[in-house]
Amino acid sequence: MDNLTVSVPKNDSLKAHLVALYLTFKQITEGKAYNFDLSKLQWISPLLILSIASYIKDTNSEFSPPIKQDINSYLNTINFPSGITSVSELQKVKNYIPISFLSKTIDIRSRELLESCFEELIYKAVGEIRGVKDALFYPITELVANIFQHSKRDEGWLFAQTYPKKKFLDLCIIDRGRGLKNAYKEELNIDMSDAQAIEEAMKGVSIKSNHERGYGIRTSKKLVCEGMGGSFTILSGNSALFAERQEQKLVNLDKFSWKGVIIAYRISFPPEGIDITPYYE
Amino acid sequence: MINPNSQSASIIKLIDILAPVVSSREIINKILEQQIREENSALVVLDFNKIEFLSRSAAHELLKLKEKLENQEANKKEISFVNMNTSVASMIRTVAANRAYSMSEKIPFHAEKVDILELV
Repeated sequence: MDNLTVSVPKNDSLKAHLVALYLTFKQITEGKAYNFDLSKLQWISPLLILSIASYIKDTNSEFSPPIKQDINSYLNTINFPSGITSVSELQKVKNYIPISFLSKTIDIRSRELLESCFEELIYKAVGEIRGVKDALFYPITELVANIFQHSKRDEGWLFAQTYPKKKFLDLCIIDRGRGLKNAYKEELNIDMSDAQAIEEAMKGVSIKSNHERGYGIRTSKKLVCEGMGGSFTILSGNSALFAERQEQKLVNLDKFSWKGVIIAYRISFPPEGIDITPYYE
Repeated sequence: MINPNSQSASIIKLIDILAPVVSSREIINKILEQQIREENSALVVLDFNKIEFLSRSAAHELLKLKEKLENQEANKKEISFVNMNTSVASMIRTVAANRAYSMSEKIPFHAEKVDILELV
């Protein structure tokens, strides 16, 4: 099995982690198993570590653990790479948020209960601030629902991390399904590039061909960036959107292709009583 | 208008069949729809007690289901909602308003095109 060195992010920003993800995965041949060398990792971010976890699980790849003992211990704590698959496992968790592996092969209610538990853990991790549940739950529920509706795969990955001193939350949702471009092709018979598919998704063009659909990704991005001053990225195939407040960049990922969709965002802990209803559409 | 206390109404406690955070369309159009259809009464009350959050997608699916069951020829059901918290009620109202008058134009989208290595 070939060794693949995981790129170390230049700093702890979401942008830097997106670049590290690119530099790591542009080395791969999609579908091939690798040994991911994590030895140089200095810190963990949901975007990078969940991408690696999902790839490992999907391709039976392996990994070499980080040299730093605290990082290695943290990876064990969050159940890297397999993740937690049941409510009973998640209910044992107290002080951290593990990787959650959501599978359509379990019954719908169990999956919803697992997702509810995950969301409750995030609420606790940000300090159980009164009135912030809507702000925390809206993007997660919409984006996870999107994975199961559009990816044509039975699995999705979900992971979050809070930084209590800096008071921000990082969250990542991943599928390894057909990706946005193929979803538009297969459902609406429209040929487009990965970049164009991301643009269509951000315009609210649903593959369900229905004016009442297509809100999930767009409104979640709007809420994260405009409502909570956060940063947001969505990546599919060889393109990504990076958005931060009013700034939006459509990013070309040369010699890279992700099978499926990766969404990650960073928000500050929402203030008490935040009203997100203006972002409902 | 249904009186939820009417003896002929069936009450479904959603927390017993769904989850505190109701996320997917699927749980509405599979689990909930089946449960409603199994009720003998034509009047069905959905009790939202302990439902903390309803996603936009689930709210949309719920309103579609309500409309479908109320308009079908056979085994018609009249559905009402009780005990919604303000979060769930806001979501239902917003999605219902959108269903009544949805935006039909494309939303403009503008982004600067860059190469990944220009990001940092």
